[in-house]
Amino acid sequence: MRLFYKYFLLIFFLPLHFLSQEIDSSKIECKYLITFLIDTANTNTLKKENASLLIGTHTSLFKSDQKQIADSLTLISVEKSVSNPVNGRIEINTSSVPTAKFKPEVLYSGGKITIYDEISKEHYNFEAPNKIIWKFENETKIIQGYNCRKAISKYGNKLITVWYTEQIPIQDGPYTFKGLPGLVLEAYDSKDYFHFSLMGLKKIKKPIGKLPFGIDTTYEKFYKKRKEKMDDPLGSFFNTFGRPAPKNSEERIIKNIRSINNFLD
Amino acid sequence: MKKLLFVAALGVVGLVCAKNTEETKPTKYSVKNTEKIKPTKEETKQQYCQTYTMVCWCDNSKDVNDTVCYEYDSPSDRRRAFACMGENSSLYNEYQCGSSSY
Repeated sequence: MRLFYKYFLLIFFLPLHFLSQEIDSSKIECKYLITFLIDTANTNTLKKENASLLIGTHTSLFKSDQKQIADSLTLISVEKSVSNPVNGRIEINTSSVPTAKFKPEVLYSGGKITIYDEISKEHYNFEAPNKIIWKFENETKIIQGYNCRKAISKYGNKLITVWYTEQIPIQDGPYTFKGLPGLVLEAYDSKDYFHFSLMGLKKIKKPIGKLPFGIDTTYEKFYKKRKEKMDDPLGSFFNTFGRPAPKNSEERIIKNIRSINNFLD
Repeated sequence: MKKLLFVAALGVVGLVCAKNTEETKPTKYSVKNTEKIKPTKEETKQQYCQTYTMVCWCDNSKDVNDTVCYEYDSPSDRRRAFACMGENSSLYNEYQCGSSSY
């Protein structure tokens, strides 16, 4: 009878455990300001975007707030254009709709960090490429009233500095900068091409939303695909729109695509 | 008996956890270069094809037409088609004008 009871518990409660992992909710929401360049050769391309890090029991998700806003505003704009044709033409003008420039979304789940990113119209997801080994420094500073300690790490060909606080013992942070003895409040690379600053945090229960559908791939394949776009912007134009780029725009298209060249990975 | 119970337990766990394995594939939209303005209905697939102009914000002479098709009776498909129109227009401007705000 005791054995039956044991298996009864196993049958009914183990599935519930798995289900609860699927629909995780946040315990804390951290708001960060991301400051970054689009083109590393042009300081006029500096952008600022707000991002959220939703931290749950088993999962966390870091993404730009601008993305959701841009998607819904774009849809409203398109619906408006479709119902108000100009001289019988439906004109889609996205110039007034703000777009998200910080594209990657980072999901932490079950000890694995997955990056969701896009190249033109294709969405991909892949495991974070760089294993971070933090080196702890002696420097300290106060950020938003929290005592913070400094740590550094190599990240691909970048040197990343983070400031974390043990007063919030959550091993999470913006982008893939996690695994420290406390929450990361500030992070940046040595050239300051990317800078993440905590703006605020609050205890809030929010569903950690579904991620977009993405093609499951590896970082190496994603990197190769992105490089192909940079190397051959006209080929990429053809693949995206199903037609060759206009002859008199070729030079401009090449310049525009190559000017989007700042990637954190 | 023990083994039987264990196998039964694993079976149930497997069934419950396999509930979300169905992959949702993105809707494919045909993009044609056409001058048609009014929506047309394809009788067999019951699809409407909507032609629209992607406005090039930095150079009016670079405006181009595109077409998306969607199932007329499906609000979610229509919504996805509209999202696709927005995404295409943004991307077109990214190629033609660079990042839209600089």
